Amino acid sequence: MGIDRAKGQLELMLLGILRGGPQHGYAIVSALRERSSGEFDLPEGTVYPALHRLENSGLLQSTWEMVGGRRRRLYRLSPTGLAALGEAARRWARFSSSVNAVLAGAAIPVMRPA
Amino acid sequence: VSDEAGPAGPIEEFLDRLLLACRDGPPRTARHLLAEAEAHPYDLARRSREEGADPVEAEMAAVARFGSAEALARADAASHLTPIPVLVRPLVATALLLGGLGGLAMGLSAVVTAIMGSVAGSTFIVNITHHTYLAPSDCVRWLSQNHSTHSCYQAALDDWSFEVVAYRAVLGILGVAALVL
Repeated sequence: MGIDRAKGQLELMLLGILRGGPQHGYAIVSALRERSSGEFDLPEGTVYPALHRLENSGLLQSTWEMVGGRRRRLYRLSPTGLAALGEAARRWARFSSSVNAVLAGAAIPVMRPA
Repeated sequence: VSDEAGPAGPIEEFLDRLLLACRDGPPRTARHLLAEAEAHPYDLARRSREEGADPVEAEMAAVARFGSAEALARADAASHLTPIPVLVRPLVATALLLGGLGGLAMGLSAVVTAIMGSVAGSTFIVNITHHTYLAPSDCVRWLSQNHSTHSCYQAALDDWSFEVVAYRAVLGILGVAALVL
């Protein structure tokens, strides 16, 4: 359930992780998992296409570096990505606070045994 | 490096399948995906080995996180496609610019036509003569809308010249709207 929901907001979360500075794929996936306390342990096969989509859209930039004898792609937010992150984060905050407000005022259904 | 599962290990097999799955795509995209898909599972496997996992099992677990090589290649190829809105947007913008400029030109011509019409008369705008055939039914309609004259010829001149100016003015307004958009 958590992973399915996370996929809907994956691009926003990836931008959010990269706000802290450039990171490569392994560190990004680890950050997703650790910041969500293991709730969003997304498969790499989902994360890399999303990173490439964001880069193709101009929201991320990447460079290559050698670490531990292997080439690694280092992703960073572009200025456009930083602006898009701010806007998307504001929309998400409005949405989530609206849902919370509705839930706070909702009657909690009582499950009765049949 | 010596504790990796080796050239026949699951990660190497995964990379072979990924290379084959990417062979129809752009070479640079394939090379970049392969480079990323090589470093990352080896990092995962190394972490698992450090936690005591068997080298082969560590690589199998790392590969499993990537899913199938074919699905990864398909998803990655899709991520490099330019979204349709991105393709359409410049076309729409260009169409609006050209259409807007054309409409603006028509609007300016409406102003010039109206001024010249008021100075030189409606015959400057509409080229009809007293010999032009005017249908009686049209005459009735024009005269019913124009109470300033009893001449069908003059009513026709007024109606047609008004239409010429009005249509151009509407195009001018649409042109300005297109440019504003």
